[in-house]
Amino acid sequence: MFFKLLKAEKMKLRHSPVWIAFLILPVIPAILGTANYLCNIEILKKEWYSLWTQHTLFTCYFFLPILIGIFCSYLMHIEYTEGNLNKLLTMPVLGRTVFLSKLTVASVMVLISETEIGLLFAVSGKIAGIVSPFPLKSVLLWCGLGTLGGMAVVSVQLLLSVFIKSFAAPVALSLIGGISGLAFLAKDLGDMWIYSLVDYGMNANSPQQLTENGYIPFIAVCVFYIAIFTAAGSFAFSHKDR
Amino acid sequence: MITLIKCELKKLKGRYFFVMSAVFIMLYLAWVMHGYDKPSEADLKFGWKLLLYQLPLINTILLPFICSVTASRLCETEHSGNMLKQLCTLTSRGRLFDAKLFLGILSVGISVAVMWVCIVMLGFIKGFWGKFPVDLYIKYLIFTLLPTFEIYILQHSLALCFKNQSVGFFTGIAGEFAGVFSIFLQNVPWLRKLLIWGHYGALDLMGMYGWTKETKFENVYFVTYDISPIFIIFIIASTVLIYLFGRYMFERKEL
Repeated sequence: MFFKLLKAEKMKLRHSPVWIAFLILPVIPAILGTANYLCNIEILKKEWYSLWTQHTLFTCYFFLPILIGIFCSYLMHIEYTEGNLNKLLTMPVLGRTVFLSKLTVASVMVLISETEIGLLFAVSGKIAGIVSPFPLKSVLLWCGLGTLGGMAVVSVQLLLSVFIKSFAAPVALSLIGGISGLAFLAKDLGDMWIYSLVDYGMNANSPQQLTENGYIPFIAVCVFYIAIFTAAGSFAFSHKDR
Repeated sequence: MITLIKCELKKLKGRYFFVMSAVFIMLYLAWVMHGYDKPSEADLKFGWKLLLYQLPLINTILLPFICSVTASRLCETEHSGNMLKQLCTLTSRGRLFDAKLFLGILSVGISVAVMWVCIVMLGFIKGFWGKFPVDLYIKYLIFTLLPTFEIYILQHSLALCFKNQSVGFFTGIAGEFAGVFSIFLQNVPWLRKLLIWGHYGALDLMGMYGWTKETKFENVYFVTYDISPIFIIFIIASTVLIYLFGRYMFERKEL
């Protein structure tokens, strides 16, 4: 049933431009971030690592949480329009399976976005003329941890969209979340706050840096948040007032 | 027109529209004030100018987003339940577009004005040194309102023309993203002039030079930029064009 629902979600998105944004948006920091790196090459001396900060700084702080917020809001909003939710809830499917399928679709979009960020980073570095070896292991790790952090944000944003029928309000909360994430990182609490996890996992020049000893606790915190919010979201969706 | 505006206000009842604006104002002020929590001597000495230097970046990040959310909140009610179909039998589409636009512009305009007043108050409360540069701050207010209205009209048009609200949000977020980067690309000044989201940076009144990690504010000096009247006319003209195009598209939208 889960895979059938995944297929249904895919069909719902087929004629929607929403997923295209996940492909287009990472291109903007790749082009402009690289241009900024080249303009300030005398200050930014850490080559690949300096370029990484240029690519990910604003992406992680503000734009990825908002992008996730919009996508999750859209996933739920299609159910709220034209009585789709009533139809869906009369089908012989469990509410938690529907929620899980939406969580999976949004997580896949985050993964695609992170993969694109990594690929564009490699291409931009080559175009910028960086001669030192490409830090493949670090980039894979940052993108992987960023995806995990993104999944945690997906779970909370989906939960918010279950509670709030409006399209814009959960998106507004995602911006507030993104800014709060920055504040938590500044106070060295980024490893605990859900909206800091993307910046922290991707080592996006945040005031608080993720070290090797922190990988396991980071993964544990992400899994904890995903489990909690998925359980809450599944419950809320199953008991939603039509 | 007044009746239409009254109708719009009634639709907002119970939708926490003004609460949302208040939350955004608080978020904006929290961000600005965070930097002046425990002000250093340099913060107090250069406070008035430093704020003018820092605010355009914060504006580029927050204000376009506030415009997107406000426009979406005002327009999404009509898309649900095909309300536009009924409304357009009662009044012309152009008038409906204008009534909603008026309310949205008023909302974001008041928000920006409240933010401005609070920022000025912050300067006085924290005790910034020197005389309050009233002329520069009035210019700053005008130069913040101009791009905000320009962006709002675009977001309003997108929110009304597209049933799918994510179109407006994604356009806004992509533009905002490019606008933020355009501020940092000092060598490409045309980019921030070309992008409407970069206009906050293009209308920047203050430049800060001489700051380094080592010397900090020791050798810092500020330069006040002159804004070309031609560029201001360009912004006003593009605002009018966006309005006319948005209204035209809405009038021809298939319901």
